[in-house]
Amino acid sequence: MAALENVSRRAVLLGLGAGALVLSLGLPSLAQEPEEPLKFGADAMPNGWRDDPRIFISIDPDGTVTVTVHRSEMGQGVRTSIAMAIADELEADWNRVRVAQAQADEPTFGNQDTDGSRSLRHFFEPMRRAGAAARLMLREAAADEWSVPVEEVVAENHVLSHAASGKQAGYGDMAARAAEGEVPARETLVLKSPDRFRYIGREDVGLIDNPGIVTGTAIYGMDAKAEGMLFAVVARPPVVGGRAVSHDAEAAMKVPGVQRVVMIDPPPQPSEFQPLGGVAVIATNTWAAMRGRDALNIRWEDGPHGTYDSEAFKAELEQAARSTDGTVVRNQGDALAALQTAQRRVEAEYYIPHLAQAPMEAPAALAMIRDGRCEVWACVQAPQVTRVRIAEKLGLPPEAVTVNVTLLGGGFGRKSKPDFAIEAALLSREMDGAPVKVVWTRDDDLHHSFYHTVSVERLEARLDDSGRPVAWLHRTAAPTIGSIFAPDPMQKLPFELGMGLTNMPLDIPNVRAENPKAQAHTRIGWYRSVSNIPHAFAIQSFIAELAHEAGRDHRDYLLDVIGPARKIDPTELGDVWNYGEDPARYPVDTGRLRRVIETVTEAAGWGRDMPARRALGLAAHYSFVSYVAVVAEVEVDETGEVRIPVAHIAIDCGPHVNPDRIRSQMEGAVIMGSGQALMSQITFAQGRAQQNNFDSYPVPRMDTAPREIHVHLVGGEDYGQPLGGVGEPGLPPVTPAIINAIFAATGQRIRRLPVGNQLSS
Amino acid sequence: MNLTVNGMARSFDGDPEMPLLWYLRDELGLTGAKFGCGAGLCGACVVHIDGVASFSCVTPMTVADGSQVVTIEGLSPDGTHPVQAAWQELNVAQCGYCQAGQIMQAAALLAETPAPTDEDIDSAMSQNICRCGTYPRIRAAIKRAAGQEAR
Amino acid sequence: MIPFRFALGAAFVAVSTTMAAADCAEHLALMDEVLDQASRESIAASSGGQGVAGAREARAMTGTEAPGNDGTATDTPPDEPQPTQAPGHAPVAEAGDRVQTLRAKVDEARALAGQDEAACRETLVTGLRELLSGEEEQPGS
Repeated sequence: MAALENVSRRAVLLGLGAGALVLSLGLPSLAQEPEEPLKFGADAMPNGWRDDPRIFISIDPDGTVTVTVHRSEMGQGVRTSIAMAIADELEADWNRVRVAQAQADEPTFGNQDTDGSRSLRHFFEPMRRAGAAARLMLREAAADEWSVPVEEVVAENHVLSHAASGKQAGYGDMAARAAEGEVPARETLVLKSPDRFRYIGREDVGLIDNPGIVTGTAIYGMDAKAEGMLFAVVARPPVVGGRAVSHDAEAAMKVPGVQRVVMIDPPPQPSEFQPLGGVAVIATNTWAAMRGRDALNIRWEDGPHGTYDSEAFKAELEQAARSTDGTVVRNQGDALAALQTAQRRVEAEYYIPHLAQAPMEAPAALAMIRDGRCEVWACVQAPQVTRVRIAEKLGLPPEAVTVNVTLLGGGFGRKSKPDFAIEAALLSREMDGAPVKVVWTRDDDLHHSFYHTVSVERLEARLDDSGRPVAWLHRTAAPTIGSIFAPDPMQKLPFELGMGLTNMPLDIPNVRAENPKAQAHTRIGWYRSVSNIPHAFAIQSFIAELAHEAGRDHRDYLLDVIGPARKIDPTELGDVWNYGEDPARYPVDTGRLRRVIETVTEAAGWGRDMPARRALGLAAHYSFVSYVAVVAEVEVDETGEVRIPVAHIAIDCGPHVNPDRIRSQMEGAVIMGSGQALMSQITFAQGRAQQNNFDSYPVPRMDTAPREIHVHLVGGEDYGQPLGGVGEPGLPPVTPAIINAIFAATGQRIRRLPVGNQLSS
Repeated sequence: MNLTVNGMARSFDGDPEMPLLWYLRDELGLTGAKFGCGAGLCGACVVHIDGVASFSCVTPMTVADGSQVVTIEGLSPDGTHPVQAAWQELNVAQCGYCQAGQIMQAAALLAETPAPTDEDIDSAMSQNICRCGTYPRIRAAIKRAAGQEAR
Repeated sequence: MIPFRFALGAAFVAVSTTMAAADCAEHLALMDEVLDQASRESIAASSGGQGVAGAREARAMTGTEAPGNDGTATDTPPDEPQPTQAPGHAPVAEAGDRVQTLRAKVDEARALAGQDEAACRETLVTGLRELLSGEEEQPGS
């Protein structure tokens, strides 16, 4: 630790106790335990990772391999991809591989919280090791049985063989014996060289859940069943922090099938993942419960957020973004001084509204309580949190709560919060432990989301004579996700700022980023790609505006502003999050960013002649330690209607485990991003979300979605490189690419999302 | 009320206003048809009523009375309907929640229009929402099921 | 462990009274080294999962725990059934936040180094003073 000694020496030299300064940063480990290595990635997650094959792999006597997947499946393909990693190293025949879903049990399985685009980034290597260890154990069992050296036993495609003796056995034959063997030490495992991969990196493996999905037998949270099950819907306070003052339980009870009406107390604020409270109606079927709820005639008391109005709040955010009293979260050079000059100064403000994740499956969970144990079936992204929160609520030890994770009908961050599963447990307790399934309607989902925040992003730049920016100021004003965890922190947390703001890698000498205060008036949560949405939209729109101001081609200008290929330590930019990854292993690599831009523009035919009112738009963004660029081709008709006939998206996410699922995630990101650009927003009036269903909260449909989507996988040849994320990083550049294309096609710059009818005039 | 569900005769004497979706899911335990919006806006609940793709979430039992209902569970005995096969071959699904409704919508489209144009596909399939964004693969799978695309 | 406010105060006094002895570039180099290490530690103490990161950072920043529905404090962040921080470990958001704030100041000072030594030093001192006053706004910490 020479550097540390150096710091101490120099600190003493300056008469400044190293301990004191370090402590002043709140980082006492420098002073206290300098020897302990820092932890990053999966090592730093609660309960970390496991790679014991006995946890994840079982082999039946008939040879069927069952892989237990501990991450939640919500469409990203993780059940297939983890099984691919294990089956490959195990040398299993894919046709004989099944998956089982792990219950919530992080001490056993390692971290299960499925977010942050990190399932494979964190677990690819451990899962490969589990497969390799199981394969070695099978070989050892066969060697033992046949009395031959283990080195001479080959395990290939579900068959164990010994060439010299001609002996052969299936995996099933040796499974029992192998299970009695020792798990080999991690260091002794030899992983396959990539040229021997059977499934990893292949496009044609298919989806392990295909048969259940196409026959309607796959089970989602909404589909959970139990003998004697009751059905519940809940009328929740329409304003966060509100409560039901009165309701008509009798009227609800008159609806045939209604069994009980139950009050749920609203939680103290901040309410974290707790249910919002309200009045629940429990019935013998969902329809009766819904009709009972309709009859409740509730009078609500709204509380302090009853005046929340998103249009007024937009003005508040704009004011904050124009003020100079925000916290400086990044400052290199002297942007303020450089901006003083009036010459070639450009400024713009962008507005990104609240969004609801709106997974096709609204939240739903089934719970029952029997003999001091609670069993839950739920579509949750965070199984362990679900387990702990329910245990606390019921006064049980976590071990007495079983959480069965169903398939998730979409998640996008909404199902990281187990409020709905806690509701089910509470209502089951009210019914003496009878199984109760809580069903959220679409209205419930849109009215009681943990919404994507709402932002005003203000950017200012000064251009030099060549049109290149020499000074850059970015102010971000938005309520923080921290507001659900702590009495409104009012400012973005380091992890939110690290999503494209503080780690912005443009090659500009004077850069300043500020974060003024903003209060939350509803529950703010993470929505696929989180704060990258506003940051990428603003920055990528602004660069296009600057290119226009400079009279230069947007692609050339973007590459110029990114600067030469270089690896930047994100901490030097002021990002102290870096997606939890080691900055040495995961620097911000502008060469990779350049390459996705070059790939996608070439594929899209950047610069070609286009018919009137049709144009290409470009954007690129680094997030979740992956690099993505998008070119959208848009056509705007005379009525202002926008169509997106073609989109190209290029991603460099490091090595590929399941390329078909990388493609599908990019396709989905393009479509979801088009909705954010063109049509979707949640607004508030009198504290209430104004959108009720897919009529007022439109999302892309087949006829409004981008028609053709071409996905370009860049890089990934070297499996020695660390993996990047896939589920989220596709999304951030899509919206600005579309908005930039609209400008190129019409000359109209959209700075307020969504486009809606702003082009029809 | 009497109806046939996937070839089996059923009778129901509950709330005649109850949508068919809840009868299928809560009473018969057929959870293949999904609840997505409850308002005929998303198509997750699509089943065939007398061969016509219908939103079961807004079809009262009185309307379903006397009809032949086919759900995703009854589309084929073993998941080999050409639409189901194409869906698997092209790995259409992401989360899969909407796909039962998509498949039932597509199967009805092809039954009516065996060689659909892009406009036919748009017009039928735009009644269904997929939040994961699988539309390009849905279109390709329909064309494959219709034999319009070389394997 | 030295109480937080006291530690900041000591640093502030040390810097503001001794810094005139050396040129500002040397102070900047020192601050850079400390910040680099501090940033790495902050990342290591954070989490790649936005859920865990959000909960840890928010509670750390405000020095609070999320209340349960019954009004009792839950003693673990939501994604964190294991102990959050070993005794004496400062919370990650507080750390991350301070690193960011101080780095911004150091960068600001760097722009002045070589041109205006006094202003460079003053900026560094201001950076520490702001951290101090921010600390004093939180009673009981």
